[in-house]
Amino acid sequence: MAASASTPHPPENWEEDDDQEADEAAEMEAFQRQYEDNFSWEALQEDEFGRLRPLDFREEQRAKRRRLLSAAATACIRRGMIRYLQIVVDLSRAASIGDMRPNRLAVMSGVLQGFIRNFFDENPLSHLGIIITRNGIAQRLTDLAGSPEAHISKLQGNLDASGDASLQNAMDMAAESLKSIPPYGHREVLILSAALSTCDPGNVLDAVKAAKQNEIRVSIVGVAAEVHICRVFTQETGGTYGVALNEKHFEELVFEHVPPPPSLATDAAASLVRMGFANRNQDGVGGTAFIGKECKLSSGGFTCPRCKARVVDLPCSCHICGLTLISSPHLARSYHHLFPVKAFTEMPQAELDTLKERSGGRRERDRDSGGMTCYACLADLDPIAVDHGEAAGVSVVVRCPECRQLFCFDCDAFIHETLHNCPGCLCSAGNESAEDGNHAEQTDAMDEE
Amino acid sequence: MAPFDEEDDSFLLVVILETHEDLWSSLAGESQSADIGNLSLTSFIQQVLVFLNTFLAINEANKLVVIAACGDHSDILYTTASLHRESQGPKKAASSGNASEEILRKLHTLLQEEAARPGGDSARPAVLAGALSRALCLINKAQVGNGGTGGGRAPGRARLLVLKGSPDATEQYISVMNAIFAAQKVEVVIDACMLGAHDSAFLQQAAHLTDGVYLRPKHKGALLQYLLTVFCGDAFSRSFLELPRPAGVDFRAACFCHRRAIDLGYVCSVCLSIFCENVTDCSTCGTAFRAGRTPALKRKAVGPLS
Repeated sequence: MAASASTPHPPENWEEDDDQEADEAAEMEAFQRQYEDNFSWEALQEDEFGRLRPLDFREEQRAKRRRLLSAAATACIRRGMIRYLQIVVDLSRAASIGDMRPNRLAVMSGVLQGFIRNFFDENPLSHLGIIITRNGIAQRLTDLAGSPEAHISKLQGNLDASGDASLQNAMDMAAESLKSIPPYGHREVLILSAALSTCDPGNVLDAVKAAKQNEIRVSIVGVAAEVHICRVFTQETGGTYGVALNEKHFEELVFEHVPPPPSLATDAAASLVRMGFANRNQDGVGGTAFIGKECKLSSGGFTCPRCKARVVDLPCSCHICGLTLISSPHLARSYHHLFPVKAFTEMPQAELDTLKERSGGRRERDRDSGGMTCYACLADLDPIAVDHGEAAGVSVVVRCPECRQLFCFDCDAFIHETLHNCPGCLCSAGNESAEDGNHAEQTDAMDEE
Repeated sequence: MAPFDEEDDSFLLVVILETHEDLWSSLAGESQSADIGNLSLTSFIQQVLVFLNTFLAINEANKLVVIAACGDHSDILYTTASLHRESQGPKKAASSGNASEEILRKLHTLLQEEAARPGGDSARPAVLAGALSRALCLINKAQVGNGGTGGGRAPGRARLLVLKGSPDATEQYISVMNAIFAAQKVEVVIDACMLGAHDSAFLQQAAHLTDGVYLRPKHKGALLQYLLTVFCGDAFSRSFLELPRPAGVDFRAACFCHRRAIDLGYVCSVCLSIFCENVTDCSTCGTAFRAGRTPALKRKAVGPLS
């Protein structure tokens, strides 16, 4: 105890007391101390079906909103939209340890499959490849490619873990494959590491230097414990490093890499990329596509506008002329990263009350239910009206700073996570000017970078 | 189609109507010359009401929401009482007597308000994006509510039907596409019926991406017939119907500089804006591209990929 040590002659009994306290604290495990003053069960209530419901949803909802807001705050920055991501999966014998259920390997593979789907959902113009490392060497599982299915089917095949991981070999291979990508692409490596050691042919710090030189951003998610060399890798290359506490946390850490990362103007050269908007072929015999490399005939498909070759699926690069082929929805899917919805602000209870009194009469005429309703879903926002009979709980009410409309918590989450549109702003009279303002701001933010 | 539960085949239908008086009178005017029959706002509403009542009668558990998109704003005309049963209780139930009556009453007020609005640019196309966004929020709320507190949702139980007459508003492109992707994510089918003279690329893409049906009826006077045969059946009965096939969706993008539809274009690598010609700086994000580098870059880009 630092306090008792600094006092030259502490009273006898005082010291004893202190010792006792220290004993108690020592008896408690670290995880127990976290819950010492936590009486969360007192905030629960049983409803008529015997289900437990929280009395006050607001704390929980606020915590969720904080996460959303932090995402919204970082939204107004330049991002690397065209990504080339190499995933390195550690299949050393440490991956077969069963501290995650059923074992680390199964958890990593499952999360990775989900990640790949989400990655292509959010980054349709990006490419991804998988490298595995075991027995001291690195192997390429899939090449850099744009379609999620190929990667996922490879991951579903039997992968067995053995030997040691080799960080240097894996990084060398990743750097080699990322060397040839076009200059506007963002080079990234994501390592899922299980081992606490690495078995390398040379100095592993050379790999760090090489990654830095090639402007590769290395991020690592570990399942075991923090390893110094991993920290060095991420710090030197501007990536992130996280160690998972459990399966859920591991998934969260991996999924943090789904949205495109912020980028600096110096990271990748901005350029105009030539792209083709491929036409869809007709169904039936006339619309078949033949890819010579795989020697496969498939129905449907798209026609490259430059060389008239046919490809099976979009987005891809034409196998004849190399043109990037996309369709306009692929581009549109990425626009919400660039033009995000403003974060809504929470309404304090007092303000809500005055608003209710003031606008109660007017709204009663509009809507048949009295009181205030969520602009988007018409759910009642009045906690007293909600509370009759059913233990619905008190919910957070938010307001859009632009259109001043009120929204309920569910809609707030839906608007910011999935929809990326503010219904109020789109429906208000000044909708065009509002959108323009948004764009202008965007431009400013990008200039600053 | 989403997996469906044979026990309960009721579902939620959200209808978005475009109720702009000027639009309808202009639509009626342009089609009078041909023998395809015309459609005034009155007969449009009449036919839609018959369709909505049929939908409600097919299954008593069916839920209905009607949203009007009118000029600059949208209004929710009708919601089935049970939609907000959990949160709103008996207060709301009392008001749901007759769907048609309520819709007509609200529509009447809405049109009067719209007419009274001073200086409004009546030629502006309706806020499709806003109405779609509101509809999706409603559906999301209903699905989250059905799934209970566990957070699970009941997918495949909701459908959106858009009845639209005005041409697409290109400035709404991003927001409409956002709405379509959100619908895709929460597994909401978007059906579309285009009543204008030209195909709507927005609605075609919406129907294509969400597995819905897009239809531009040839005989607009017989709207009810189309509605009943094409848009009435639930997800299961649809598999027995010979529904109109998409003739080919236009996936070409319009460039940001001239709004021309292009096959081959240039895309800014920073903000993904589309240009039809080689420009020196991006008009959206202001990035300057290194002049003269593009041809070399192109060759470089092509090399390793082919």
